[in-house]
Amino acid sequence: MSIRLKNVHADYEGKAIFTDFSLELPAHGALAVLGPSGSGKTTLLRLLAGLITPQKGAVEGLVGKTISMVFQENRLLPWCTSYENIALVQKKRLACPQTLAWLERMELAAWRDSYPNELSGGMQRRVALGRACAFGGDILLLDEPFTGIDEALRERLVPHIKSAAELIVLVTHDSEEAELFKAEKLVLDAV
Amino acid sequence: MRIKGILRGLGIALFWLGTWQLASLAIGSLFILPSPLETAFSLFRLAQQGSFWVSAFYSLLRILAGYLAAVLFGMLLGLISAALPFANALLKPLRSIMKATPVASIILLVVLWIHSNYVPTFTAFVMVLPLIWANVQEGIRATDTQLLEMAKLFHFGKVKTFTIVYLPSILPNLLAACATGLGFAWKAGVAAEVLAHTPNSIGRSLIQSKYNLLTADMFAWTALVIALSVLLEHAFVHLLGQIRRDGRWGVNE
Repeated sequence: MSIRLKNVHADYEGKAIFTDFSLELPAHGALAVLGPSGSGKTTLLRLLAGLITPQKGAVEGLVGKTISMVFQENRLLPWCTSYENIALVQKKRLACPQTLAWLERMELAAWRDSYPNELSGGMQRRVALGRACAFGGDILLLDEPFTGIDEALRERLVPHIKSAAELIVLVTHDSEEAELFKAEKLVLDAV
Repeated sequence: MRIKGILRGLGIALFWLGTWQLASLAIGSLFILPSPLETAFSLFRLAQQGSFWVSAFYSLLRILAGYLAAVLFGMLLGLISAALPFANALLKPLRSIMKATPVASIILLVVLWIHSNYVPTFTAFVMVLPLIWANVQEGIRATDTQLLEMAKLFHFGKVKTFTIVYLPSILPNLLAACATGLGFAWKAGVAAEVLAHTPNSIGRSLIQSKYNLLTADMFAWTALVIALSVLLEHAFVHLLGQIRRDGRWGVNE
């Protein structure tokens, strides 16, 4: 069953973001959500992640699906190393080899024992990306995932990220990022 | 640099000991203000008696028991109050009363209820409990909601969310409260021993010295209280460093 937002009404901090909004997501591949600030890009991801529920309408097709996410903020545990931040989201049995593999893919192997405050903004972002990819699942939601990451590195990271989930929903201001993922584009208008 | 620091510390100590010596000479009465040397002699004499160490040991034992019980119950009540709004509303007046009641009132009331052996333990408990309780509750309340949302998204579950997100968030508040509480417990505990005439205690020895007009002994006992307090504080700071180094709630490979 495909994932659909059906006649959704959703607010953010008291402001109506979506009014009678409907959308059907592709079954696999990537969808890039573009649009100006305040157009509801992050709200759309939060609806899909189940972190907020619509006031009216429904989000269908999520039952039984595992959702992973890179938030707009890194949301790393400051008291855990890069390794621990990634290992924590995985089943204990698989944590070690998979975590090391994701650290490699994110080009962070040398910083596995570093704490977030010892890493640059871009490195922290890659830990957050590694964590979301290691959790894996059916849908990977990415909220401006490449903040602080240079272009060459973005290109190297994208194939790994794409391999982590069936469907990727990417929120970005940058249409070039959408191209990197070969994503379908959805442009939201300002509210 | 280190030697300079030691010399500076020694200089400061000598300055205050000199001031004390001068004040003692100016007053000229052993009963009112004994000199540092007289106090040191008293301390040396008392330290040769077995009862001195027995009193110090039992005082420490009683007060630390109350302190540790308060830390445990304070954490528990902090967790309950943070998790259950009704429990918080129900228990809040109790905490406010404990916080506002003068230590002397607590001791004098408790003397009527329990054996004097347990009064210092109970007093230390009542003094420290609200402090730990409030700090744990505040630590939980102040836990980063973005991290909690992350934990929810990645299916951490209740136990993992508590140990990985809440506990490290509470830790700075909890440790600060534990450090402050240790001083509270020690001072209130000795005061309780004085008022309750607790057998084999520093407090009782202190009050007996006063009854016998042995002011130098009173100073010696007070010096012991200060020394033990400093010792406890140092032990706690050492433990704290250990916890910060090793006690992270991460995952093991």
